[in-house]
Amino acid sequence: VFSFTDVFDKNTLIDFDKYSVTKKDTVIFLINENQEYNYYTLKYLKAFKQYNKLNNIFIVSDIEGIETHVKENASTDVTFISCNEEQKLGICRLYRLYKFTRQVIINEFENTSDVSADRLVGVGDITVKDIVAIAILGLPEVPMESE
Amino acid sequence: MSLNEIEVEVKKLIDAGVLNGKTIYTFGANRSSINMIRFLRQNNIFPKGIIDNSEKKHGQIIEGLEVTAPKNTVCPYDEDKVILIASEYHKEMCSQLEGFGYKKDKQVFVTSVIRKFYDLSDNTYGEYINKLRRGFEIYSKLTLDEKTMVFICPYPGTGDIFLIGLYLQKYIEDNDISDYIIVVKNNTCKRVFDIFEYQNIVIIADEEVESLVCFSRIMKDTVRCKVLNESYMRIMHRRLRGYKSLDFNTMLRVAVFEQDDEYIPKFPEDNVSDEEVDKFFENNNLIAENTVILSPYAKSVENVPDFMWESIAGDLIEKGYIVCTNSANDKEPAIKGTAALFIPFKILRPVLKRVYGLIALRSGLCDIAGDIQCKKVVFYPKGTVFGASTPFQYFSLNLMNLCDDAVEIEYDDQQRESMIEMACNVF
Repeated sequence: VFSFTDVFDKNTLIDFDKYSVTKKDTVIFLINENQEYNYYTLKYLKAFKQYNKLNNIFIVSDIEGIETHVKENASTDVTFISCNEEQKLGICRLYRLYKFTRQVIINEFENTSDVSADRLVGVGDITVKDIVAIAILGLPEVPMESE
Repeated sequence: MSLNEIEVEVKKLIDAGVLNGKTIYTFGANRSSINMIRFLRQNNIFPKGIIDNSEKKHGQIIEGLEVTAPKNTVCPYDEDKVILIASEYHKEMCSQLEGFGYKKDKQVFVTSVIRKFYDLSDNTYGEYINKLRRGFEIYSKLTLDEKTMVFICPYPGTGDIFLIGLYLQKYIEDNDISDYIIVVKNNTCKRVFDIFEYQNIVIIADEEVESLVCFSRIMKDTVRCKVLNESYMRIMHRRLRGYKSLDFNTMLRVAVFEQDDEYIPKFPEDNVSDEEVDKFFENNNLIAENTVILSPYAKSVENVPDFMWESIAGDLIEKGYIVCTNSANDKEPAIKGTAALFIPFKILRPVLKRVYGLIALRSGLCDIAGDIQCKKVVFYPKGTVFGASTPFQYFSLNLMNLCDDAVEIEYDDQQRESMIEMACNVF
């Protein structure tokens, strides 16, 4: 039996108004089970912020203990928001349904797409760094890690 | 033939007579401008040029029209100039033109807003929930039981469908799929699948396909559906197009069909009788080994000018070839000096196997002809971007390993003579 309320409930979403997210900010869901993706997402934030002329970046995750990892590896200041699994899956389902904003980025493909771009890692000389920088963050090139 | 959203709006302007006697520009060197230009020309209205704010695009020739800066083209204000906009940046564009003195809905017309910014308002959200409901209804109608796999082809490009055909059978075998249906948007797609002799192909309306895609994406862990496209409505995947030489075939093979480098795609067996093909040549007064087919039309890339095709046709006719234009309908007239030739998909490959050569603008036909041994010359537009590369880098037949014998040329209007020579020298 198919029930739409089971599929998606708007009320489970994180209330970003509470965090004063503006049009000059971006919210990144750091939820990839492969930590390499999370690591490079954090490493390339400075370049991402500069490229998009952003004021603030919000990092949202349900991964236990990741806040420390974020603080240690983020290449620029970020605001960390913890979420639960239900909230994570809610945003992923909504993202699958339609692109409701440009201001949310989810750094994985399994929960958000029907085609896993990470399968392309290893094709030619495509790496996780490429997938994170080019596909996920939309940067024109892979930044130097020191950038 | 039904009109798309932009065409409907442009048609309204034509019918209202607001374009009569005006010098028309489109704003934005993009796909939507190309669609507007083509549609206007079909209605005997000939735009003057394309304006764009990107300096990188200035000087490019698209659809035979030069891309120029707005301030150099429509400034100072000229009441006889009309600017058509189909862009998500329509507000900014209108505001810029209003700064030159133009008025919206008098000289500036927005034919599509190409909405990309979505929201969580009840209207937008409700719209998608309705799509989900519709998708569920369609899915329920299509599938007899939960074992049935639904393959959805949301993009109806001929070449896309042909390449899907190359890999789908292997995917079906690898995943032990006993019951499946293939959902397509139109009869052309079905006819391309028919080349491979796939069964259970269902044609449904565009809007129904969109709804089914929505449903399959939301229910991806629960229902057996697979969207057969490498980046349908997915910006993250599109950004990888052409990146580090990633071509279309590889994207499809790896990302969609999960096949490694070892797998060699299986081209169709072309089970068509010799008599049927003989009859086609006879009915069209063609001598197979002396025939060259021109295919100057494509949906996904810009056309190259007619005079180039006319020059090539003239040269080949002088050399003694019979030259025809592949023409699917009235919108694809024969190149001057050649006869229009409609080749049904069913016999397309057998026909191409017999002719001497094919000279084509890159289209789905080129994918279908990929492994065929006839002489192949393929033109690609130059100076345009596709994903992280160019149409040539992303769709090259040779680079996609569909063949290694195609002569592939990026058309450069500045070097038209040498382009023509290059093509003709193959014959």
